[in-house]
Amino acid sequence: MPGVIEIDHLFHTYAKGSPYEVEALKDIALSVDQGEFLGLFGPNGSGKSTLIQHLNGLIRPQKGSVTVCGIDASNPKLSRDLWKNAGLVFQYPEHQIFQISVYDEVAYGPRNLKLPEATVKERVYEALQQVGLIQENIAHLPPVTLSGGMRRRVAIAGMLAIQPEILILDEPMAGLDSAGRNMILDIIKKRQEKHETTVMISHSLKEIMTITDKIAILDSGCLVFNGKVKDLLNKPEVLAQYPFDLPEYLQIVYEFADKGFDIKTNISSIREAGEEIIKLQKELEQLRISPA
Amino acid sequence: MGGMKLGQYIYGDSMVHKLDPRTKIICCTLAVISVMVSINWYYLFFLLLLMVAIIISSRLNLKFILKSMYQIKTFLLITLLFQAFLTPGQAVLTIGTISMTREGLILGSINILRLIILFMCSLILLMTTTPMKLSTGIEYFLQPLGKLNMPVHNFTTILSISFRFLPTLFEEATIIKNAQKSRGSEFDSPQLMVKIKSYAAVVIPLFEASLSRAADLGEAMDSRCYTSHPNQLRMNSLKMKGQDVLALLFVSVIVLAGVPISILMK
Ligand SMILES: Nc1ncnc2c1ncn2[C@@H]1O[C@H](COP(=O)(O)OP(=O)(O)OP(=O)(O)O)[C@@H](O)[C@H]1O
Ligand SMILES: [Mg+2]
Repeated sequence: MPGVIEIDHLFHTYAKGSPYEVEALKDIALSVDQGEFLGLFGPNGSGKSTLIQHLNGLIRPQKGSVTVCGIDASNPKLSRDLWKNAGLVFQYPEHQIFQISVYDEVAYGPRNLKLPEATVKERVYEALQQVGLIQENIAHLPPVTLSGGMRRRVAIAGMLAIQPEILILDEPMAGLDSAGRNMILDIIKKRQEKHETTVMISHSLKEIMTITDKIAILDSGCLVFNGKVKDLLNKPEVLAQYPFDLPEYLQIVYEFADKGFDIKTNISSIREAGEEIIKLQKELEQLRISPA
Repeated sequence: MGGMKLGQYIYGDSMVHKLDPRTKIICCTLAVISVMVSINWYYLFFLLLLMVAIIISSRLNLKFILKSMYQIKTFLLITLLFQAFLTPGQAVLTIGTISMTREGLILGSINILRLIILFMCSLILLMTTTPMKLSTGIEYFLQPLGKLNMPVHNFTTILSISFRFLPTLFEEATIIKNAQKSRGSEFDSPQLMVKIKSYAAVVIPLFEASLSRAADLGEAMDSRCYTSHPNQLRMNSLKMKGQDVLALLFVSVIVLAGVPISILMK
């Protein structure tokens, strides 16, 4: 069965034919199944934002194919309505707020869906609740009076209210406090429970590893890894490229392994890491007691 | 999402790129004057060919420029129609009480040709000169106004800051437009009201961002003790070379010879 997102041999070049030509995507092949969570990781300028803008029809494939929810994204007539299926929350979405009240801002998407006003109201309050802004008075405040983080929540609520089949988040955590991060983790968890598809971009492998089972790594426009976190842990040559993006416990374990100690490196939780280190310590002590 | 913006400086090392900004400003001014004065077809065509030659020789993307010119076709067409209907003369087509005249059509076509030449000329200036050089060049020509106690340096600072932020603004506009499209804004709706509302969703956040950026920048300049002194260092870095003299001579000859010829031939 084909996945909800199918990308095949996708290339993208910005400013083709000018001195500023950039090959942003090179031969990308990726698929995401219904209900899956995909974490997209990569350094600055690796093409993550370019890739996800293909998913809701903002960029049409120059070469290769993109199919989202069975819709061919290269068809201009169909891709125009792709935003209803694949909701994309941009990097720093708080900059796109323009309505005079939080309520109207969140209602903008549902109203564009031409829903009846009663349904719109229901969806707005549901979305505001999901992002932790339930207090009645907030809905009627002008967004300018809110802080940056609160505005981010409003912007995310604006997309949740559209209730898209696929939710795509571009760096949602950047600049949020821990409560904000938890809010986003909650949203993701709820979507996973409801078997809904989510794609999240992040600069932090650690962040992705704590949430997901499926990860894709982009680097300079190439897909360098695509698969389960477990398999990624068995690929130290890939991980070694991003030493500072690893969770701290992995950094420690790798350091031990580097120094020549016999330690398991394909672990995926801080608990496992602790157990491994204790085991190592015991072995060392035994060596000291009975030197061979 | 074009990537390249119209009028944006394009790095290059052609002869036109290397000219002094003052040379290019003078040449452009002369070209504007001659285009305005002359109504001779041959002369205007000659100027058009010259512009195309300069664009090609400075390795700018001619196709891209022509494409963007095609986007202002409505504007050009309206110019033509207004001229055609409002100029008195021999009628060729009568609709109700107004009529299109032969003289009007000719005048209209000449004006379109003029606009195209001016458009190309200003693009050559903008696309081959860095914003910094351009504003330094302008500052040089405004210097005499400083003697009349006009705040020339403030003016050129404003100018160079706006040159600096124009591309950023375009980029932001694209991002916000895409973000609103993702929420269902219809920028290509056939209904005018829907279209206007969609654009409001771009303009408002853009305005807000620009205002807050302006406030930040002002504070940053204040905290670094900005005062409006002439930037001698920048001004002295301008140097006229042999190629500048040649270019000035060439353009002067074309203008000085071309204008009388085209007036005499009328
Ligand atoms: N509109 C554009 N015009 C030209 N080049 C662009 C444009 N947008 C992106 N690029 C280039 O394409 C490449 C990929 O950019 P992209 O924004 O997809 O990266 P990213 O992975 O999202 O980076 P970040 O982590 O900083 O958000 C970069 O080299 C960038 O300079
Ligand atoms: Mg990005």
